[in-house]
Amino acid sequence: MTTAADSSLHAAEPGSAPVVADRGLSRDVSDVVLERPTSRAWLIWALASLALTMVFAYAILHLFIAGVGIWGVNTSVVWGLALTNYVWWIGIGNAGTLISSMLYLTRQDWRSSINRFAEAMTLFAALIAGLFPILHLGRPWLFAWLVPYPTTMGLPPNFNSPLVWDFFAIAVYLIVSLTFWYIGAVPDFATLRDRARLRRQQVFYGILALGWRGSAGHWRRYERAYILIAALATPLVVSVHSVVGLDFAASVAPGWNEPIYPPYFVVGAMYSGFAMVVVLAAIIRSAFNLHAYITERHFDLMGKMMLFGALVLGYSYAMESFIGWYSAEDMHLSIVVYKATGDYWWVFWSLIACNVVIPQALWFPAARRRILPLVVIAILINIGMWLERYGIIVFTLSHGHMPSGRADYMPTVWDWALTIGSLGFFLLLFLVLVRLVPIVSMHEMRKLLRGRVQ
Amino acid sequence: MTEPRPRYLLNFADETALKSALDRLPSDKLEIVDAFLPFGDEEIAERIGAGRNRLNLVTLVGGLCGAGFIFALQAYSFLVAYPFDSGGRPSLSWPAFLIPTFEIGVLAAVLAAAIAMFRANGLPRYHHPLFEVPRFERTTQDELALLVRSLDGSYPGGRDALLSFGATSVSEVWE
Repeated sequence: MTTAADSSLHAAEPGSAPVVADRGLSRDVSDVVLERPTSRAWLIWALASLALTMVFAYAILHLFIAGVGIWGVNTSVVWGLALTNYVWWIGIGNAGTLISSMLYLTRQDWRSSINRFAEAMTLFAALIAGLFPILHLGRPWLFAWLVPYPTTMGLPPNFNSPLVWDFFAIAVYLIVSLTFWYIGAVPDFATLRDRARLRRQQVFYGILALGWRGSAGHWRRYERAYILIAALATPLVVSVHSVVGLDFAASVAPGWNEPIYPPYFVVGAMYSGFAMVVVLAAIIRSAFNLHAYITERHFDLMGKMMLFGALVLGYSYAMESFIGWYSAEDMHLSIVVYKATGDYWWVFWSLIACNVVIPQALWFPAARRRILPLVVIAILINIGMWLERYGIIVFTLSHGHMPSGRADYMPTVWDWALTIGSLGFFLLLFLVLVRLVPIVSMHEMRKLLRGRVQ
Repeated sequence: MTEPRPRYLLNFADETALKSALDRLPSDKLEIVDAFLPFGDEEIAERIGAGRNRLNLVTLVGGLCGAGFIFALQAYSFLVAYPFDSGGRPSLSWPAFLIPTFEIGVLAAVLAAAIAMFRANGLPRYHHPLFEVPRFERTTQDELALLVRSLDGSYPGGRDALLSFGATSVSEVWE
């Protein structure tokens, strides 16, 4: 894989001559959006994901007309796939801003080639995640009651409710992620504006670039603002999934009332998010021939991050079970046993296999540096993390304090339509994005190419 | 009306050339107006004295205002708008207020940083004389540039003399 850009990347070791690389970089990355014709593969994927998006839209429409009775939820298992998907998507949505902010602050400069699309992944995933809690309300149009505004009822939202916290956490996360992503992209929009030859492209990117001129003063204020936002976004990432964890942990239900939930949700979120980034990085790299910018080293490092996630999650699962026994509380112990041997034992053992056992293969460098095994592991992790969230909801709700109130849960076709449809919608948004926005941060790569990142 | 003094845009191939030109440009004849780069460079900004800012302070104040506002709103909700005795617990249940306080504080700080940065940079500004200079578009890709102004009249020797400072091209900029 020795391309011109590849050799220029090697020429970027500190102290060596810079320059030449830039034009190649700007061209390689801009051409993906400015010049490259729509490929047949893109069209096929776009049509397939558009079809799934239609399924998603129809499932929502039918839900609005017929109500939540079309789902498999019942009076015991009141949260079904809607909440499973919510927690899963918001988890996916955590890694992008994590990569951007935390890795930026810790000067992990390898993030530069993956942060743009990882942030976009965050935006889209958080957007989709935000839909599910609204959909699962019996009367979704009343979700505005979560917003503190002066109502005619004179009744403020209950700020002591984790569900209100949820609203704040997700809304703030979406706005901050969007701001962070957009600010990161403004200088690249200026590059596209100046490279574009078609009038409509010049106007489109010109508007997005806000008239960016890249003056030394622009850059200095820009970098100051960017690092400030990164520093603010890092605790925000941690807070988002902690708040989601509190939705469960602040209740008294057995298996949910666990102090470990907020940190364990955060780790799980980063874990599944990194796994999703690996999958998307592999697709983007081969689809747009960006082997020079997204290298084996990136996959190797992301593999290590996933391995770390697997270890921490494994510890969390073990702790959850241990505390169940150690607390010597009947219901607590009962739910631990129920998970492993009850109606949903296969969910439990599958998630252990996908999230803890199989990722141990990442100890071997060969599994981290070869794309195929890494992507397979990443997909299994995503499935495992989905099952984990499914389990968290279904284990506890179908095995509550009152034996007479216990009931099984079986998702219906509408649950699945919404789940699969949301994947299609995500894919569609992503496919549109890669046609419109440079998927590698050009201005950060320029700095990196000069070995100038301190 | 004074006679318009031309400005010159000097393009450079890399930052070494630009920095050595900064050393050599005669400060009694030329004033350095600005530098344009395809990436951030603190050193160049410092040398031409551009982009000093108080974004740290703006962000802090923005964040504190946002956090203060939402905390006060919650206190108002529970103390004044809808006091509710739940098993004799105190109305001002402030530990539970901290999550919205944190979230809105971060939101306000981020928006303050972003808005202040764009405002201080004078953006959005969709038209600028520099956009008329064909060579300027290279500064968002691979070249660096200095914008200089002659202190009186035209620079002696004009373009050709300026090329001797290591520039790859010199363009005149008129407003």
